[in-house]
Amino acid sequence: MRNFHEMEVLDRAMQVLGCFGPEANALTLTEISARTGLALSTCHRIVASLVVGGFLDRGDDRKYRVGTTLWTIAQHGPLSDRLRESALPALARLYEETGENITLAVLDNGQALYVERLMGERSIPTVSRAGGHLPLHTTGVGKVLLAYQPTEYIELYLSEPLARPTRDSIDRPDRLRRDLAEVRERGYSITRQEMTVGSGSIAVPILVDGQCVAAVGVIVHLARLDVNRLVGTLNRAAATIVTELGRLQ
Amino acid sequence: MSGGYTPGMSEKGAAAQHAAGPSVTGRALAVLDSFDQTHRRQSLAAISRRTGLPLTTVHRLVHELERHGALARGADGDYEIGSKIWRLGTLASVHVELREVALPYMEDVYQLANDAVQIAVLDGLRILVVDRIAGSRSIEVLSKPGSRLPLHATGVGKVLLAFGGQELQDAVLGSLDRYTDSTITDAPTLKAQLLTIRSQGFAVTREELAPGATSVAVPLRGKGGTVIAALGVVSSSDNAEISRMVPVLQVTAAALSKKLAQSGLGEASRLR
Repeated sequence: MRNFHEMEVLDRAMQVLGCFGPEANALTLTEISARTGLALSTCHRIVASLVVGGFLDRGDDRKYRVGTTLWTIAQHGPLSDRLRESALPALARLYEETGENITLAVLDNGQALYVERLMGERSIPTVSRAGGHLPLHTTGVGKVLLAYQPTEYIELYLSEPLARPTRDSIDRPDRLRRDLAEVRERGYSITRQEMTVGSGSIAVPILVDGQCVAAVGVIVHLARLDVNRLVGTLNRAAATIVTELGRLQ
Repeated sequence: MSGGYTPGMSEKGAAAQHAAGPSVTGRALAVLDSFDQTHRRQSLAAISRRTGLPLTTVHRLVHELERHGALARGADGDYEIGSKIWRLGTLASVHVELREVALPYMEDVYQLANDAVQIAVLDGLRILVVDRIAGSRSIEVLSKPGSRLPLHATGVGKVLLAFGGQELQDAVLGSLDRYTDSTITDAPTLKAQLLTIRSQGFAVTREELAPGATSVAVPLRGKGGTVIAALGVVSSSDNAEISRMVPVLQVTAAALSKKLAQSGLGEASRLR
């Protein structure tokens, strides 16, 4: 009985942490209660224990934010550790060379999880952010991540309804299947206004022992989508990242 | 308590101490907290040893944390931090308000210096490395995002110490650990150096934390001119020209500080 209760408490703690997101990184107790559907008194108790552990911080504005202890623990995870560390210098150079938005993403639960994103004053605004998720079939990095999965995975993905954020998003399974085959064949993906109107993207895989562990991509204004030039630059960056990953192992 | 930088609160001890208490949340946090730089992948037995929790408890908690994506199980059966924790981490103030704002500026410095570039904040009586850029061209540095390093033996640490309060200086100067032959362990010597750092606006270390490494660092200021972080370059100690990086760091720090102040950083006590 005690174990059952314990797990319920832990469930609720994870629920409280889970209601923080990119658009909700600072929440009041009332907001946490509304988002979790937990009683205010329950929230108060759980939040208090999360604050003691440093997993949440309480600001002077009475809002709670994800705490430094949690951030520190997150730095010891494999995503921050090996991949980000190995990729960052190459991504920085890529950004220098192109002046465009650079993204690095991995596959996470059927979506593209953005591990890193570099953007400057010159580059086009995008919807991707580090730590954020976007669909696989509407983003350059996502298409690469999906294209290099086993056939069963791809078919499973195609059997689900395909989101259509813009008019140009590919939401027909047969068309997407053909598009993914092309990605595998030529070794890079292209999107044109499939996620955001006015922008396009190119992405290439980061292949370790034949397995696609991540994808690196560039998002540009549609008029600047110079495929040949960008693919060459991306391939050089991907090769550097693969070397750096190998160096760390 | 107003934030995660309250001295002592975010040190390992808090969660461990918590583990002994009756709260299941505390025990779960202790399990997560047992993962660090040198324990990135752990077996159930190792987690049990490091938290002091019984194996059956650890088994149950780990299973539950895995179910929530807070831990992930590798091919070899060991556990590592899961993507959920990583995602939550990207929402923390150090990440959103400091790291993301600072990254483009750090890249600029990296392109010029070709050496490891890092930013750090004060965390209790140590520095917490918020980010660093280092590649095959730069020397191997000890710091990684999330590492805690001593204040008196690092460039970024000396800056934070020099601009820190009297209370902080007293606490740190009370016990100065030695890491190399060049570590400054004499309190009056360090105190004099801190005064110089304050007046000249930058700090230099020479092989004080690790042999072969030298560093320079400057303060980053938030709203109201409060020093909230430090920006530094770590180079190989045969690089006689590292002091040439000082003007580059100072120009970058001025631009970055302006941006940090605009975003209101330094106003709340969260990032101090």
